Amino acid sequence: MRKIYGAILRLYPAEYRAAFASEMMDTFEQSMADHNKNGRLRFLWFAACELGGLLKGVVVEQLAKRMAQDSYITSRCSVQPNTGLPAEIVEAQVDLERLLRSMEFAIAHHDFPKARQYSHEERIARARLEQLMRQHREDAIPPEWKSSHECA
Amino acid sequence: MRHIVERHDDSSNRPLTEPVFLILASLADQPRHGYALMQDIQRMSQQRVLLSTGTLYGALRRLLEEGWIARFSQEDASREKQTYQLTPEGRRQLEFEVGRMKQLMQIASTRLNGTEA
Repeated sequence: MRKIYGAILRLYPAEYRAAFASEMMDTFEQSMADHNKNGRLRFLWFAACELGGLLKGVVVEQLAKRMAQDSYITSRCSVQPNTGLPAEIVEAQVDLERLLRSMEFAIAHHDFPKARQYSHEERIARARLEQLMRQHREDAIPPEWKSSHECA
Repeated sequence: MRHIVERHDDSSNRPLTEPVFLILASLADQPRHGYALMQDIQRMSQQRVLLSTGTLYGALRRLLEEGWIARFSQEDASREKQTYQLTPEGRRQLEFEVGRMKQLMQIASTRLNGTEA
């Protein structure tokens, strides 16, 4: 029972676990010892309530974390739609900005594995954006101008 | 189909959920740690409400964020325990909720007794 409880606890967001996991485990153990005295049926009822409550908590806390992250990212994103650029470049800019803000959020919340993952994704997104920008600049050059330069 | 439109002058003055109300009520007379809170809530509700640790700590996390309760460490039997206590804002919220419930109870009682004009 303790092992199952510990395994479900690991599904909570890292920040929540750091603040409450050991305390929750202590409280659960005390409560389990208490309910163990009241017969098998009462104990099974207690175990079902505990595991159900814990799983519901995982969903609620993960959603709360996601909502906090989304609102942080939305409030910090500064990319302005530039009508002069193709849609895929604007999209790549927004994607890069979102990854940067996500990385910032993860660092602020001491979630370093996530921060590293965002950093890796950010490098890929930046390379893609640079490639798109290069391609856009090349496309903007008239073909006759390009060929005359090639001859020179 | 039910349509309920509630007006709240202040977003923090929404009706409290039962677990939150019971947690605040339990902390109103003295600070308590997690397990003591669970036991007290069970006693207060005459065994009707059995909070799981998932529900209890989820509510405690939100109450800490709202600033309605505070947490401090306390030595207990040679190990450190986190203890929770009501803040002045938490007490204000609990008093507001009790006032709201009293008002509703008064209206309901008057109607049940059929004495309202």
